[in-house]
Amino acid sequence: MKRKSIITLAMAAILALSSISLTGCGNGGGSKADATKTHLSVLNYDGGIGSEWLKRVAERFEAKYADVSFEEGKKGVVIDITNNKNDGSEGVTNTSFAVWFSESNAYNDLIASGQVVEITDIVTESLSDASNGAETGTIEDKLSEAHKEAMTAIDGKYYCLPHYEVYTGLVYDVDLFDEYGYYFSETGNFTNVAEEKTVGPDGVRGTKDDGLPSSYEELYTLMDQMVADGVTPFTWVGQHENYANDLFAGLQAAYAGKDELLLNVTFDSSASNTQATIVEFEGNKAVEKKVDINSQNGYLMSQQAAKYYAYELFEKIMSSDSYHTKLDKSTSHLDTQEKFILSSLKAGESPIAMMIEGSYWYNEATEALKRSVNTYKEQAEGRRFGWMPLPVQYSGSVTEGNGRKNTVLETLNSFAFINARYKDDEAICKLAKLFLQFCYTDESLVDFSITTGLPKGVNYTIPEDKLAEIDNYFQRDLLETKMNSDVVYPYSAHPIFINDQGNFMFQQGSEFWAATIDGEKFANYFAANKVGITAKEYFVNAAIDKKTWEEKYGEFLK
Amino acid sequence: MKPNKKRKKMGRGKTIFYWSILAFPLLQFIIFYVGVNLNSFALAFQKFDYSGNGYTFVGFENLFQNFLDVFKEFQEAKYLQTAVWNSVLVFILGLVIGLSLGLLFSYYIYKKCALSKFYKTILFLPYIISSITLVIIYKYFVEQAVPEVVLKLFNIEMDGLLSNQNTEFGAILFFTIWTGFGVQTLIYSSSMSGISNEIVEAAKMDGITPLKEFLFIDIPIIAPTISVFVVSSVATLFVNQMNLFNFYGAEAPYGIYTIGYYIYRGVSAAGTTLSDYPYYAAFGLVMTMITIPITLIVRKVMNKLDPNEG
Repeated sequence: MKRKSIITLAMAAILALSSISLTGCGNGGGSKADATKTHLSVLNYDGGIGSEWLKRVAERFEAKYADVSFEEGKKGVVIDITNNKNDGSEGVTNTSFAVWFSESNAYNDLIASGQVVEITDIVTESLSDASNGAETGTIEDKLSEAHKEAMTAIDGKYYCLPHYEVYTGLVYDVDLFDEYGYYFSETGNFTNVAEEKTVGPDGVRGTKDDGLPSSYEELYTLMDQMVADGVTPFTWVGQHENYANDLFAGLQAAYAGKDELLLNVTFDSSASNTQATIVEFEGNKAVEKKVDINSQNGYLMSQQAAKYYAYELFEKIMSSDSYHTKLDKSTSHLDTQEKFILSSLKAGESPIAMMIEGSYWYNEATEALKRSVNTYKEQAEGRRFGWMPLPVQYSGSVTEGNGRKNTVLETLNSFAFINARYKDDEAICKLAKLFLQFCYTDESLVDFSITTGLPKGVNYTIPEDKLAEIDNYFQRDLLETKMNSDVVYPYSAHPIFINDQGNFMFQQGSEFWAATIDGEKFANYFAANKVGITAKEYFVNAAIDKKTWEEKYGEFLK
Repeated sequence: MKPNKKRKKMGRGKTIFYWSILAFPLLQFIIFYVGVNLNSFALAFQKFDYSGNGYTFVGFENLFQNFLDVFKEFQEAKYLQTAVWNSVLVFILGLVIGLSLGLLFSYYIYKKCALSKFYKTILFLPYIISSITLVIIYKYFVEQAVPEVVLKLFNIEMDGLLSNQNTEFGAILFFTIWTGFGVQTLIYSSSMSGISNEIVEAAKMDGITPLKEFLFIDIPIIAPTISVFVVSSVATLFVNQMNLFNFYGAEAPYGIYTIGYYIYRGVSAAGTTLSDYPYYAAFGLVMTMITIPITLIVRKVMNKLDPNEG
């Protein structure tokens, strides 16, 4: 009995101690308990970017404010980092994180429900102090026009800042393209000689996209050539059907271009003097038509030509097993990435040329890349993967001076903001604002990109020498893509968008890609294609009609 | 001290003890059940105003707008009608297969037949292993192992059971019944273990067969347990999401939706905004209005069937 009591007491003590020690644990963060300093709790959504970038910026911030007091009796700052995949949808103010770097954020919800602190002051004031005099501009100067308008749409004030940006589309194996010479020549054949290559989608000779397919017609030809060579053109994740949307979004952006793509959320041709190209059918023939878009006929954007051609390409991909790898629902994104990496290394495997993915994939594939080097040694070292520019016209080939700047689409809705729980806590609020501002100095932005290989959703330039610090081709290529492309931020100040953002998001699982055919609903064209629905049928049935538009958004059309 | 005063003091002590034990769960119930449900009820008559007013009353002229939206969606979206059918199917098959097999296995375990402890462990495994892990293992099994085995044995190439739309729903239904089966078995077998030995011994002396013992002694005695299980299953008819979120996240094909998944996905998927919640609150209320009378009828029927009642 006595022995039993002792054991019970010992177990209780262990449990009590462990609960205390567990409470003290951060989640992958470097919580450094120091009562002499002011602590700032920061949440980091560490999906594809890790936390190294935040540790680095935190260290610089702590050093800068080491001798500054934010609270009575305390000197200096400690940034407590917690890595947590929280998008704030279950409430920001019911957490203790003061500063958030997150993703998949419905920012209008956060603002309208009072979850976040107003930060107009730090967005519009000079970054001189934050950058130790290196900059005189403001964060606002670094924001795109779309961001400025959309972020202040509710009451004219800033509450959120764009965090990282992610594009969706195609990753291609540059080494494989070089080896097989998958570049179009001016004569219509394939070549690997730089001087013979076509000008590519941008229409400028001597740029990275030279020889790459500039039209859907060329892309189809390339796919057939690959199959003839025993190369598998495409792979993507079998487990998540919505990954197919990554390709649709990328293709739609490239074909439509920045101003036309934005009409999907702004419903206003007059602002950018841009018409939308929509598709109508004459029998089976798709006929393009130019229309001015406004609030009243915004539903026509559901018939955008760029969307149809994306579905048509996918229909072609799905028409033969030789165009894509086998897709099963147990294959995760990590499996797919590894398969893509290893396909051109493994003897007897059909090499895979392109992978439908998000631009963050390289960070997720770190372990797979290491494993490939461990197994295949120098053969797997220094592999070159690139972010593929996509077609800008339907047929023929872009000629010199007649192309369009590459267009990429941000799809992850990633934002940074301050928890409104601290709005009345002067010390923490001030510190949080200073830290957030510090994260948007050029030095911090460049450091973020060098560390993560991903761009931030604001305008800044990464110097050549800094870019050279990145030890892999893909991330350098991606950051160059950011600097040399039109980036579309699909946000808007239009009341329809504000009140129904979920229906106009290009994100993987969004309703934007859904269609109902004979009462059956499909999340995207991939799901519909599996039951034999053609691209045309899907596209036509995804159309929104005037009546539905007016019923749904009538109150915003006045 | 007078005995009356002493009794009073003891009574007060008991009351304090009683309330101190009850206070926390009661508070929890009030906040997380009553509060949440009241909020949900109110939400069904509200809309979200992005100009800074948050959730506001829809107004008397639009009082049932969210409900009308629900009925309209039901009318137009075939997949919602399918979802109702899927929910009912999961319930019926879960009940029929789960209940009958559950009772048989429970009896086997209760009678301590050969390998009963082993079966008990196997049946409980799905509850020890995380459901996500179990789903991943099952996915690999039906997507890779099954086609491989069929190819080896019959030289027939086939898609994985989840990749093939004709077998997808069945494969998940099987998983749901299989993983839900163990808990029933354990509940029934522990309920059976409470059956008095004297009754069983007396019946044996009268020459009862094992089948008759099962049908006429064990089942009637554990009838209240069965009744609770059946009634609570009916009550959660439109809550069961058939593990779809574990299998697909927010991306399950519309054709295999259950109502439980539709609601859960609706409020948690990327793209859901605050303006969507009133619709789902109204949807939940409509489902509750359908479920309540069914649950009450089933409870009445079960009470009538229960030999221990009246």
